[in-house]
Amino acid sequence: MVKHHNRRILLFSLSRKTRKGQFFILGAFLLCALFYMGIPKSSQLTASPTYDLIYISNNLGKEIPNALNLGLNESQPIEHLENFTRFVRRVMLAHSTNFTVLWIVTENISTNDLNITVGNFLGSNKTLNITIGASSINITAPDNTTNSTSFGSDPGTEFNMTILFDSQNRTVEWQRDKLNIYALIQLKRGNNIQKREVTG
Amino acid sequence: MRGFWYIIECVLAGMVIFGFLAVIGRTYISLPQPDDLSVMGYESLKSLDDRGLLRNYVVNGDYNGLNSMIDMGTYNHSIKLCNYSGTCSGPSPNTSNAWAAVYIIAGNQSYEPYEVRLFIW
Repeated sequence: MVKHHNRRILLFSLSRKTRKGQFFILGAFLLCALFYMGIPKSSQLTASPTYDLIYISNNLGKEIPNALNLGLNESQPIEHLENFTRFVRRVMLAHSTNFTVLWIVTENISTNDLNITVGNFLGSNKTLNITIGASSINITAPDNTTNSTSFGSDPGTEFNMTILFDSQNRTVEWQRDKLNIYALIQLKRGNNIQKREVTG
Repeated sequence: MRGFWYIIECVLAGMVIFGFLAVIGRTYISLPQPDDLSVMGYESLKSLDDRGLLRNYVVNGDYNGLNSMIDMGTYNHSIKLCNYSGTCSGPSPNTSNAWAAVYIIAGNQSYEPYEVRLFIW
């Protein structure tokens, strides 16, 4: 009876030991199955990363003021600048790049009339505070629009203008008797972001 | 017999682990990347613009003339010009694997925006 009992214990322990290895294998398969299920499917189309955003921002940094100048030659500086902004945004979208820009243009209309135009294409409404000398005004530009206002005092032949919006504070030194532009450009593709400021 | 099963277990476990790493590791182990030809293409277009040679071809729609001014060594290249309305002129590359460089101009003597696409393969 004891012998039979011991034999049963031996057989039982042996069978437990052989089953242990199988459970390990089964457990490994189940774990791997869980991992494989968690892996996202790769996209069919793969694009090699490119690092050309800095070059495109250099290109736009030159062409945005150029668009303003060419528009001035045709007496439509703001219209052509806005037109060009929309063109660039469309082109960049076709290249999987998000292009946003905020520009401010000053134009001397008369001695006591400095026209300030804000073009906001940043993706949200913006309110800017503009200070020239001791005077300050607020301009609100809804997204994807331009807004003009008059700075009704003579800023002087040369003037400093401080632009305040969001958490950004910029001071530019401009001349009254010419078109002036400040632009904040941002290009974004994936995790690659390129920002550039242009003054002229 | 026990040792035999242990060996089998080790082999299967190793296969599972290596198989898993081979799938996951693919995303982290990358082959050496070729040169970023889009940057070379941009520099080529910018060089032409800096020398005053680019804009005349673009506003006249002469994509062949502009393409002939570009030297990309052993690579093939073609130019496509797209205007404000999105109308493009010029051939598309006859390959599914090409680099594209983009250069934008606001115009030449007058406002006439264009997108210049240089394809390199």
